Amino acid sequence: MSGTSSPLAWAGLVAPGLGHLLTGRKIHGVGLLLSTSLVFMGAAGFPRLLERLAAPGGPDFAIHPYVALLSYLAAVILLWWQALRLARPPAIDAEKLKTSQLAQITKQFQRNRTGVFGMYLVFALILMALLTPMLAPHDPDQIDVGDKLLGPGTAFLLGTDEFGRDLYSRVLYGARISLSIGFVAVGLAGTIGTLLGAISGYFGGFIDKLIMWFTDLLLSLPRLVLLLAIIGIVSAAGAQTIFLIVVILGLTGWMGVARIVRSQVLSLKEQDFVAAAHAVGLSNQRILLRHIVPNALAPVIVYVSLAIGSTILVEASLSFLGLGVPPPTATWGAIVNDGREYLRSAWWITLFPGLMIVLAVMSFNLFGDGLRDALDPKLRGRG
Amino acid sequence: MSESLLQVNDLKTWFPMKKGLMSRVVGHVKAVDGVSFEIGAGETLGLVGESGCGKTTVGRTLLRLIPATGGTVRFDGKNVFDLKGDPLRALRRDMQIIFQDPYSSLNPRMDVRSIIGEALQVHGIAKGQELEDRVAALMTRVGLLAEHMRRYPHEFSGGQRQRIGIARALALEPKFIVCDEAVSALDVSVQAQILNLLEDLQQEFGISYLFISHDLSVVRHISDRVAVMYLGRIVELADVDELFDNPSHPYTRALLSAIPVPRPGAKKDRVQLDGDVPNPIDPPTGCHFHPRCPMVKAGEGVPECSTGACPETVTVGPNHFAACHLIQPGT
Amino acid sequence: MSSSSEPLLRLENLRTHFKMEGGIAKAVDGVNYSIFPKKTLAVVGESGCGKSVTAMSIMGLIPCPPGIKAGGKIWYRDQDLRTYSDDQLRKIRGNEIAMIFQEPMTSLNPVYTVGDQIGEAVRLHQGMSRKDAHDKAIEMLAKVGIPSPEKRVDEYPHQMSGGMRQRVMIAMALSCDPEVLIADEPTTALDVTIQAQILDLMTELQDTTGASILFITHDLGVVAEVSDHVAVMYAGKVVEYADAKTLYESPQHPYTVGLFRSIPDLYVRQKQLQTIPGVVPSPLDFPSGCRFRNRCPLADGRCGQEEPLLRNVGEGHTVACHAVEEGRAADVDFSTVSEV
Repeated sequence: MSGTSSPLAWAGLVAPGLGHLLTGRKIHGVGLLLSTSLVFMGAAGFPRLLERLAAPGGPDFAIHPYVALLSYLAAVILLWWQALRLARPPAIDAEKLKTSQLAQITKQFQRNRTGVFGMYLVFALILMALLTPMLAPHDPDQIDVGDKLLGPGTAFLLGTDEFGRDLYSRVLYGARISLSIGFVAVGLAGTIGTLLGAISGYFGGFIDKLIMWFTDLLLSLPRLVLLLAIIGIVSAAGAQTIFLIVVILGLTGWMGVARIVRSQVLSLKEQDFVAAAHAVGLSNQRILLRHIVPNALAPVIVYVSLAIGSTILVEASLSFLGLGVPPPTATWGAIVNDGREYLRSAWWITLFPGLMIVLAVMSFNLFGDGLRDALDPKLRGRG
Repeated sequence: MSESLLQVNDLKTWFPMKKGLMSRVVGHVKAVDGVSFEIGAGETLGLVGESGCGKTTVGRTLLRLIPATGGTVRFDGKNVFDLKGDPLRALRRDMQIIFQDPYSSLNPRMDVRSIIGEALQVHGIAKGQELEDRVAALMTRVGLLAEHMRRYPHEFSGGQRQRIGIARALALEPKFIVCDEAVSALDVSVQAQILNLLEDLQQEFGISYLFISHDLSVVRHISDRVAVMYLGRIVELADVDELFDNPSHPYTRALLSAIPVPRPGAKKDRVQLDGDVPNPIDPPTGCHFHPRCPMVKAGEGVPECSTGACPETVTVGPNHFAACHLIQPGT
Repeated sequence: MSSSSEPLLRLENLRTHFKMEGGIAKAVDGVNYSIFPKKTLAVVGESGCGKSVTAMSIMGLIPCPPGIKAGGKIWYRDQDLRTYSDDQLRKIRGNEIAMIFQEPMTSLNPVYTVGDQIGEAVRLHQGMSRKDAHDKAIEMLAKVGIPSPEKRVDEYPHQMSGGMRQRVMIAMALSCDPEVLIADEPTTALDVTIQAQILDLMTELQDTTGASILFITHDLGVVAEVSDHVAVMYAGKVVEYADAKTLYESPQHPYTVGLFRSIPDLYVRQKQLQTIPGVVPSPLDFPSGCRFRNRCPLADGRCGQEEPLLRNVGEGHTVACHAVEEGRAADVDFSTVSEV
């Protein structure tokens, strides 16, 4: 670990990632450049953003420009800070590096090159979703029948759909919805699964049997059938919103987490440090939350990062079946569904959102696999 | 003799064995089956035996980490098994435990300050700066550097981790500590350091120890009295010198003769024990020890050994008790 | 009590290092000892002193990387095992040099019967048929004192107790009549009464088979019981080597002296145990000069600069210590060492 750096590293200050690329750290270089290019593209959208900020927009879009602006600034700071750190490496506190758990995990994570690349892809995807108002040239819902079914070209980068809506903008806005559905639904599933799994494993006996019986019951039903049934019941009542879809996805996705956490807790609760906590007189709640759950979380993090990809996929299938987020809101699955009828004449409508789904799922899977290796103590550096 | 700090009477800890879909209880593993002893203030009782004899279960049952099946434990005049809620929490302050494995006994995600200080915080004894000061004092007392307070367990060696475990047990100023194989996982030079520390702490604070170990040399060194367990029962209990110099139960004698002595050529007449400790799920009838007993093998046994009841505990001499059909009560 | 015969296995300045996150761990760093025919050499030391890594190096079982063969020779019948290829080593391993491990639970494969596992080695090394190997397994089980071996031979490891499994391990190791048996803490996981059985068995089998034994342990009581010669290891090096009687009666190296003083005596009750202050140094960062000097009451300037070498202090008794060499090791008082 050299304290000095090659002059080439300073190229990173022009475009973060370039310095990494030139000094031979290719994965970091390409990964950072992905985000950097988004930032540059976003710069072109500044006028649009300012316009949006000045004009009192519709209630839907009131908050989005501000989110975009803040994320833009944060991304700029983060990217250029990375570039600067390469050019002028900070003094590394070797003692700290050896001892900090986080540093060890980071180091282990960086060994897995595809995992690191997955992380950069995930970062770029999230950044893209956040910067959408700056990146998207058109209103995603603006209908112009005169421009309908135009192929990819200069006027519309990825072409237009049957209503003449700009596909590029729709895919970008779709990223926001699809990714947020992934994150929120999985967050919900992770929380429910962790709580139920922890309670089940810790208390055992009748509670354990009940929770696990319920978990197995849900697991034995195909998820799509379950979803269709619930959505059928709920939409019969006339409610079908993004919020609802998220909640339903969350409520049907926690079983895997619950099983993982339960098995972790079962082995953790036999450890002596838990006995010591009992001996000191701690309450069950404190033992569970302070001593057991933090030690059970590593596999949950891995599971959750993988589940985000599959949840995006499930949402896409629902939208494709016309049971997902109601139109005109753009989600990747819904756009694919829109293009179904025009698969022969206007292939671009299906292809581009489809590619994004593939890219997103792949990114989260690569990232999750990397995390799994890094968090598995058995694979961690010998010693 | 004044009343002992801890009186254990006919303690039983049975684990149910379940089978089948409905988890029917088909039998019990009698891990501890009628154990009685007393420990006085500032005294150390050594509890020895081979693996599976129930010694660890005794320690954990006393502290109510495992539910007891029967018997009573009186601590400081209170019936331990009757306590609930606040009185139980108060009792926890007086009874602590030190574990064998310095790795699994510390929460890897907590720093040393939290590990040692949590008890003080939860019991409302100290917080903020005072908490920090007390943790620092405890760390210094057990031979750790107080500036390492923010470190995590994996940054310490086995011996140091055992010191952290001792500091945690000491934090609540207990009157009684169960040392469950507390030095067994340590190297000899570190083991000696920890043994000395435990002895110093006993002198300073008047703590009583139940010292559970399979290492008879260590038990001899630290104990005032020693109890020998075999398959869930105490087979012999005596003052330490009496037990080691004048063992009366055949099992104790065999156990003592099996210990390798660090003197080459000091070959002694070993009382060879054949076979293994029987499975506690299905212990032998009569005296649990009779299938391995060298006296029974030598034809000196009586019919009760194999077919009779479990031998009663008899007084062999002053402060010396044993449970064997072949031992006549002494004075 | 010198040995007239030539050593069967001789380590010459053996070094095995490991590449780790924080640098190079010098787990074994210049080990010299000899094993004589039909004799038992005990290697004692605390955890991390390199005693097990030395044994694994002899077997050629150190994976490289992260292991590094940093030098030294392993002389076995005028051949240097360090220069052997994997194929050559495989012929030696299990056949001429066999090993038994500490954990009888994990060192047997749970999905094969013990008969299969004992038979595997003889089928491999001696080309026996399945039937002959089965008979050989029964014979070996009988030899290690397992009752009704014809029945036991078809049992799985989980059906046996810890002591039985260790007997099976010994049967496996001895099935090819090895010249050298390496026993790495073979009784540490066992209860004392079972340990006594196993130790007796090993001594008895040594008499009948004539194998040399390399016995690795941390238990000084066990050492006294089984060994002819003893090598004391500290921080990757042998610091003292002697025949057992000499070592126990007049240990010379301050570390050996300290080790003896820290074990509680079963017969004499001491007031307080004497301890060696401090901890074993990390193999990533050994002190310069003598590696024991930070914990040694006799250390002086020379100990910090110059590494002590093994020197003769009596017949067959070598010690690596400047203070012993200079004759000022008469009285070791560890209480004078300030804790670091």
